[in-house]
Amino acid sequence: MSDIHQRPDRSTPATSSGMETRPVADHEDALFDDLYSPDSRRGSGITRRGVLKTAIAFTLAGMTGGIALSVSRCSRQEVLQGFLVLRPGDASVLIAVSPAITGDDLPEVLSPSELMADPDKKDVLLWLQLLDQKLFQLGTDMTKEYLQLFDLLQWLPTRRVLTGQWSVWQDADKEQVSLFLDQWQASPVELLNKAHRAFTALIQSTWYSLDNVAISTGYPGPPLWALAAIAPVSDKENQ
Amino acid sequence: MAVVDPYRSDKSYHWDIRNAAEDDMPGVIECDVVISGTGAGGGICAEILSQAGLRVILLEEGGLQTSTDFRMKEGEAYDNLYQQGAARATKDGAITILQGRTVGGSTTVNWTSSFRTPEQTLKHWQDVFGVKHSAESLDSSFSWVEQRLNITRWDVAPNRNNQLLADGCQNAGWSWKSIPRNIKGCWNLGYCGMGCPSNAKQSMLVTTIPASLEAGATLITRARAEKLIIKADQVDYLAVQPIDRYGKPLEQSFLIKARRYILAAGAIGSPAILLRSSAPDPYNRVGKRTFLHPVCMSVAVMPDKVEGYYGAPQSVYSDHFLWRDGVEGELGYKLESTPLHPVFTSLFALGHGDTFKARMQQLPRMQSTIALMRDGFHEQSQGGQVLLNSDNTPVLDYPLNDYLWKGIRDSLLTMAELQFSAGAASVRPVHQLAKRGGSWPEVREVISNLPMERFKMPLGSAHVMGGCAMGENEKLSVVNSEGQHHQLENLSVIDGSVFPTSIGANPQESVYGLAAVMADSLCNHERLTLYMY
Ligand SMILES: Cc1cc2nc3c(=O)[nH]c(=O)nc-3n(C[C@H](O)[C@H](O)[C@H](O)COP(=O)(O)OP(=O)(O)OC[C@H]3O[C@@H](n4cnc5c(N)ncnc54)[C@H](O)[C@@H]3O)c2cc1C
Ligand code: SF4
Repeated sequence: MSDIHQRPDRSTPATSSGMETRPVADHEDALFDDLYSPDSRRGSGITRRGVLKTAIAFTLAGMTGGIALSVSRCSRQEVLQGFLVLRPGDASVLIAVSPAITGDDLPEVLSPSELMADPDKKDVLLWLQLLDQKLFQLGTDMTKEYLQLFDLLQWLPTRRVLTGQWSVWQDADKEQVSLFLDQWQASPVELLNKAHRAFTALIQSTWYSLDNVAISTGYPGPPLWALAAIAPVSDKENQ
Repeated sequence: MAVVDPYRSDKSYHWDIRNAAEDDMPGVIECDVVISGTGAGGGICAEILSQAGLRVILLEEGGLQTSTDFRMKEGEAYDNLYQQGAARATKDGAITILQGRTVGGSTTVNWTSSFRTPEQTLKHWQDVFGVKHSAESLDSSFSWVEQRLNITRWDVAPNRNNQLLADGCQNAGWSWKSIPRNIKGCWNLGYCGMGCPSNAKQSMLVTTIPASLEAGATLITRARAEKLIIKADQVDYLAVQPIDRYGKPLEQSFLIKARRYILAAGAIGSPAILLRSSAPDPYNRVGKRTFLHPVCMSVAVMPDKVEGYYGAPQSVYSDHFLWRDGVEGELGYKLESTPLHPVFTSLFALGHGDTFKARMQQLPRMQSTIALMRDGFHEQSQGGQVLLNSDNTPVLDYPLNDYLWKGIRDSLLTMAELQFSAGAASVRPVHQLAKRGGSWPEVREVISNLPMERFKMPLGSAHVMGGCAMGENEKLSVVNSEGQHHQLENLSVIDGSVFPTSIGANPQESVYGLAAVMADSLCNHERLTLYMY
């Protein structure tokens, strides 16, 4: 995740286009209007050229503090209560994209706070908590990169360019999300391949940490005889 | 069949075990030898040195989790027993790295495959790096280790995942063998990677560490060896940072004053301590040439059930392609299989949404074959470099190049051919753009056209090696063949970080064997100096 804001590797053909030397506009709107073609709202608006320019813009912005500052407006959110790093906006993104990533629908979830209150949505809460712990354990720098990715997905201009998603995440539909994931996965822009891998691996591996989900594969769980054999003595006595 | 947890047995009552995150620690603790890290290298050293009568302190940044805690649950195990919650990766995120972070280190979570260091590797080390060890000189050490950890031929029938690897090789006319394992009374469960719940696995957790504690050693958990405090050509103190279960530093740090300091924090871990300490490194070797045995994978779906989640995870291997172009030629690879549990499988199912889910649904019929690249023997294979993050934790930068990609593509071809000769219904090379194919010619075509690029071709590693190379030539190494640091008189490095190249076989027995030799020589040396005081 470390170079998500950096220029893609020199070895990828995409960078040899010479575009990285083009001056990048200071004015945010001009920058993003140029990237976006209005007839491609359903995802195909992510052009290689557009993404490259965004990447470049972010590299430069990182140096000058320009766009990075604007994006970090989102990161001033408070961490969700009972969580280590996830903020409400991050949880919204995760909940919105996860069906298109795991292939499993989630129960209707309106907001993170509702999640905390409703025992029927226990699995979703547990999953978010596992994911939160995973993110925290990654260590300062890697955690920060993930949070930056979440920021990019929340701030309208970058969200638009990277995902083609116009409306707020709560209104995203599965098809639309799948479309941008397909593009991230196969894109010649390494940065997007990386985002795809980081995003899907994080969500899929924590999702399959839930017992219910794990056994949905046909995996029966640890053999019962072994579980019985290792059960603490006091448990056996209680039975 | 009751399981005896040594850490809850009667004799454990007098063992000196402390948790730096919870217990009050004195400002300075004195001892003869302090060992940082309790994995393969640290465990063996601790037993030999404490049984020789030296006062040993063992530091471990992970927690003490024992068979009573091992519940065969993947999510829990990865979070509690692995570095960075098993989500450690190279700096760019292209290679996932599995390493243990718990008492016993990676040996607590490894898959029990046990091989001596290949003769070709030792010969190469002698020729190129001036390492003093040879297959003959290490023979008695390996024999001792094999006896101590009960490394024996595994005579039980392999699980179907491994049997299919054998069948595929057999039908293709390639050599294969069964894997010796370090086990005693194995239940053949398949959960070695989550901590062995029956204590059958003869990891450091149940062998050398209890023996050291019994001999009077002290174990301090959740204690990160942060920094050596150096005075002239000596280490004066070791600064220790207590950390919480997530690896985050806690307030109170303390010092250890020892006669001898041993780094056994594993590859990545040991070089990191030297880097944080700004230890002398006149030839700029620390952290360089860190190797991974980068692994790529091929997944077959068989016509009937495989159930790769049950049974000893690795029991068959093939070295048919390991030295395919000589020691220093084209990249060679070892073929093995992996356990197949849902979370682990989710990391190489790839794709998203329905594609991903459909692949997960095939888990019971999946067969996995992996190829482990023997990195470090060719000039185009210089490995990676350990760097420090902003919070002083380490990260490995491992660049990928065409030499590696060629080996990887070749191995994908080998594995697909193998799986079809074992009767696979379909084969999918683990690559973001690869769909499964139903015949060998079809998949061969797919593989030939796959772009070999990072992220599109996910790679993994459970074998981190090197970064503090040993050797007699100071310009090429950090320590000598005995693990003695070239510049600092009372410092040794004794773990997998001393390997000058990758091993070309699963590394645990190489670590054990070398650690035993190094600890023995240290023991003679330390006992002498002890008498002199
Ligand atoms: C999932 C998995 C499966 C594997 N399977 C096999 C196999 O089947 N066969 C095989 O031969 N090998 C296998 N390996 C690899 C093998 O276990 C390792 O190569 C070997 O254990 C390395 O020994 P080591 O002493 O160098 O490091 P480790 O065993 O990794 O021990 C290092 C210890 O140091 C601790 N540490 C790190 N930094 C610090 C610090 N600053 N202060 C205090 N403590 C610190 C770590 O927490 C860890 O406990 C596997 C590894 C993994 C992760
Ligand atoms: S296969 Fe054997 S060694 Fe591995 S976890 Fe099961 S009982 Fe332990």
